[in-house]
Amino acid sequence: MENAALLICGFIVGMLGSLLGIGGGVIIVPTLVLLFGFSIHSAIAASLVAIIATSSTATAHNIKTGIVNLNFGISLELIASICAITGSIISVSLNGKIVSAIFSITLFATALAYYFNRNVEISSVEVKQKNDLFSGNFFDPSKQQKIYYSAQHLIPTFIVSGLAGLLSGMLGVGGGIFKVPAMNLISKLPIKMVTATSNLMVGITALSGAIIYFKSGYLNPKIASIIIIGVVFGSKFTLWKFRKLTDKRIKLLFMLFLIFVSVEMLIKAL
Amino acid sequence: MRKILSRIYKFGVYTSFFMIFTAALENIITKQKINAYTTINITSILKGVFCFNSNDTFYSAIMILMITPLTAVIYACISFFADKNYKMFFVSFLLIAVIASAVIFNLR
Repeated sequence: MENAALLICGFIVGMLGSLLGIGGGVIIVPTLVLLFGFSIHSAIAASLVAIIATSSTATAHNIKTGIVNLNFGISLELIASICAITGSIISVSLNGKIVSAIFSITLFATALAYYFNRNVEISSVEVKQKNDLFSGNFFDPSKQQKIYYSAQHLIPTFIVSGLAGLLSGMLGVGGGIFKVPAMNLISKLPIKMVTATSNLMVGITALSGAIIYFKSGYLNPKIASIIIIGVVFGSKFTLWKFRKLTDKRIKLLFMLFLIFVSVEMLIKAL
Repeated sequence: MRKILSRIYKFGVYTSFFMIFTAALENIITKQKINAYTTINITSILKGVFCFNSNDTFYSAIMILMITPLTAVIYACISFFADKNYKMFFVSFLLIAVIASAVIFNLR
């Protein structure tokens, strides 16, 4: 019965992760701790491995279509990985309630930023003449046109990516929940490219954190494996069923999701 | 480059998936208790896989999954070098070094 529940949990996380460009740790960790009674460190370890599965499944599909900006993703990951390793080392010695409270506040701030920018239509930046390291283009099937873009305001996005990496290591989340708004709102990049690149990034961030938990003996292979199966199926189901969702739908879904999780984490911290 | 990266990810996920199913089957047959190891010995885990030890097979599945994104970054790093994109080669090389340092220096 517990195995079936874990499998369903993994399936839902896989669906959300693939749709929103997040790893799904924000759902896995509280579920494993509150519903299944696992220790916080075991839950984080299982969550990070499940995030690698979500990321890899989605990236296998996205990278082939050319929607992922490899240069931008790998560059942001350098900072995020260093911070993820640091975060996971800190996590072992820090009180879980304090970390949960910080996480909830950060999440709520992100949700607010999304709410105030909900009507701002981020136009694709024409960069046909420009050829910098982080510019690119992809074909959007929902708009039936090629979208050109170029990343702006890189320093704040790198800082947010580092913070996301820190929280990823500390809480067992992928960090996509912070990276997606940062890349979309600060760097003015199209949401579809952002979610796809974020999917690639969260896998590497999660790997950096997971190594520490893995080597510390916090990883229960059976729990992680059951969740992985659910996650892979959920992710595949989303790619098959919801591939043609428009930007506005994804944004709305993401905003609602942020608010829900921030309230959930605040309740947990109090 | 992108096609090969996609194949790396697919191969990693599906191999890991296959190993999980194998481990689950072994576990149903042997009814072995699944534990988290406090120390990781790769040689012992590999031996366990060939001895139908479900605990070790579960671990090997997770290890394959964890290696997947790293393999993709290593391949991207080599491709950047081949394309003479030295900026990105340097960045991806640093990323590999950071991840490898967590393993090599046994950070906890």
